[in-house]
Amino acid sequence: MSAPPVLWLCVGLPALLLDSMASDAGEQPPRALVASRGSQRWIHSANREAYISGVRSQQPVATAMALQPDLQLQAYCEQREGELLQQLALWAYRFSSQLSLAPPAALLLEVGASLRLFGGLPPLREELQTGLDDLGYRYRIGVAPTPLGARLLARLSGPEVFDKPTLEQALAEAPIDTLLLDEKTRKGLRQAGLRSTGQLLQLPRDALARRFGPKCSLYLDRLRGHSDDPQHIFSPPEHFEQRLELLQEVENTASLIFPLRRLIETLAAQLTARDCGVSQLQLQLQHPRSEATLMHIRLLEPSGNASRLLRIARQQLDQQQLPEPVRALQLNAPELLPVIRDGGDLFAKSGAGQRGHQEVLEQLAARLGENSVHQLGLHDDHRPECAGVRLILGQKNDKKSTVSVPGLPRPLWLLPQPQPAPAGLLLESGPERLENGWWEEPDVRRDYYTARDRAGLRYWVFEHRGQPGKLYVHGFFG
Amino acid sequence: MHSLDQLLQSQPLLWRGKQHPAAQRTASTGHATLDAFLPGGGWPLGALTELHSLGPGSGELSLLTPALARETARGERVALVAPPVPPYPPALAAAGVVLSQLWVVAPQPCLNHKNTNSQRSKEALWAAEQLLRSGTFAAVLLWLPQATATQLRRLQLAAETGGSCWALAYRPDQAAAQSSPAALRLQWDQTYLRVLKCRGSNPGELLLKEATPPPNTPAHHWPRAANEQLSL
Repeated sequence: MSAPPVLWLCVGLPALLLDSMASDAGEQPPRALVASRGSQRWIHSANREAYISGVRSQQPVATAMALQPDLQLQAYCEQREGELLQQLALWAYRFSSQLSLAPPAALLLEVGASLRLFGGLPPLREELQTGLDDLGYRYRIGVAPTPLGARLLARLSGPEVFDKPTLEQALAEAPIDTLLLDEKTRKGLRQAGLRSTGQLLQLPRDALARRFGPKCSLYLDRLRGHSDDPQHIFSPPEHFEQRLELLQEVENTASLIFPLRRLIETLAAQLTARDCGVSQLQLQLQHPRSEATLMHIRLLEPSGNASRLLRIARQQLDQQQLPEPVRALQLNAPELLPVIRDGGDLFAKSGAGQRGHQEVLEQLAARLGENSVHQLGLHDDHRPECAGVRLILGQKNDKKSTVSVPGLPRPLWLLPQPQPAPAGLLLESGPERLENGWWEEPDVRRDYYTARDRAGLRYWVFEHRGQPGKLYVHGFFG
Repeated sequence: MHSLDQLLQSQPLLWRGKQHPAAQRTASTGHATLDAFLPGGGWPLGALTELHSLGPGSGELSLLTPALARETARGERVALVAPPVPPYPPALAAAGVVLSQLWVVAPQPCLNHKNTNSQRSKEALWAAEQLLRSGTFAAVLLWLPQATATQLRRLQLAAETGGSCWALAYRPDQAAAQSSPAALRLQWDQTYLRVLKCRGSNPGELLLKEATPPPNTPAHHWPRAANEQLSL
């Protein structure tokens, strides 16, 4: 099958920041964002109410205020707009994975490869528009075989163009001022008597390059698709970090569940977009004065399921003591991991509706502490205390487990710290001498015996070489 | 009458004297003599078994390792809840237990609770109940230094809900005199295994090991008795 033709769709968002500020309440006051450079201040974008009274972008603020005295002005913040564009890109990731940000406020999606999935351009466009309407953004869409062509058509609200010859025709009418060229070049072109892009495209390429520099002719080549226009493909961030300021301070953990759900749902949306999961989360409960309470939420395997993440976080939150009221929540996921989709065991013993073993173990770890649920592993070491390792949830045994199990007696229980032996022990067998190199810690030079007390309990005891007679219990034969 | 009968049958709470002992599913213990001795021919599944012992060192865990080894080798999961001492992986592996199928749930000792024993038991009971109810573990072993009859009943019910899980609670020897709703109650004193209570069968006693020589004679190759040294 041949590769589908390249087709770019540009979503222009002329008032991204302003639209994001609109509240849900129906009646909006006329509002505009103000951009400034030095002492110059001009209207960056205006909402519909302000537009009706004649406020336009690029207008000086004084003019706008004269047209609409009730105009509410707010400062335009480029950084905030960039963040919004990133968020929107995450949302738009479902339409195409070949997506790039076109600042100041446009997204470019390569939709040629997505057409089969959506069943053609009209259904895709409809879904995109419905989504943008729901989010409350004003937008313009342009479709063309080149990225710059799509951007230009979005600015002009032009027709959808699917091939390069049609694109040239569509561009012919575009005014010079709509081209993405710097102000100096545009002025030069205007002074040369050019008005439309059609006229510009008829000029000899070499002459244009001499007169207006290589940038201008490269732009025109890319616009028409005569030369390649590589795009910086957007990739969703590798980690998740989001903070949520609470409207009022919260004193009990139960009231934190609702804001936590919002954070986890945002995380889950990002995870779904990337087809990823998380195996650990950090939740910070920030207080007005004291240091933030830090909670670690661990899962046995990566998951992107919001309700599962919430259940585990909630289990742990219930146990948490709050030193002070909580002012803000911050959720961090340091690593997004691919999800293992094993689909579960078809013939599993568990009936429908019962949870998998991972979920149960995660639940236990969340309530009892993450170190309280572990597995056991072997380690190649003849010192008894080093021959076994504890593996906490999700940890793999990275140490060699090809341990030859000794034929000598080993107790089923081993004390983490040897204890002085009780009086009245009788030694049954031994000694078995265990020693390690002097360069290793802990230094072990011991003679081990099995022993029995009067009640018949069997112990594994040792004495240090060089200190005979002082016995220590190290384990029990359970 | 018929529907009443059905209703009563569906209640796991109800134990009826006439219940057929064969209805109890069991799993082999791995010891032929023990299988023959236990009513039903093995460890009861979907029910709670109590094992009263003197504590770590009485050979109480090695009584169960053959069954644990078989279940883990079959790819089933087993869990140890609140063991009194950390289990020693090499010894478990030597007994044939597949370590990757074994989980240890050890509630951390909580310092701000005065009665740590009861707190530990509470957490162990809660954890065991979750594991049993999930039905994803073939065996759940738990250690209960303290438990009330109500807590044990909850555990017995969880074992019944979980389906075919082998639930076994280690309890101190002193608790043998108390009553308990467990389906099978055993007492272990290193040589003898005593059945204290069993559904559908009678109590009895089994000699499991040949009596070891009385512990007051020192091993022949050992020149001195340790207690002499220690009494110095």
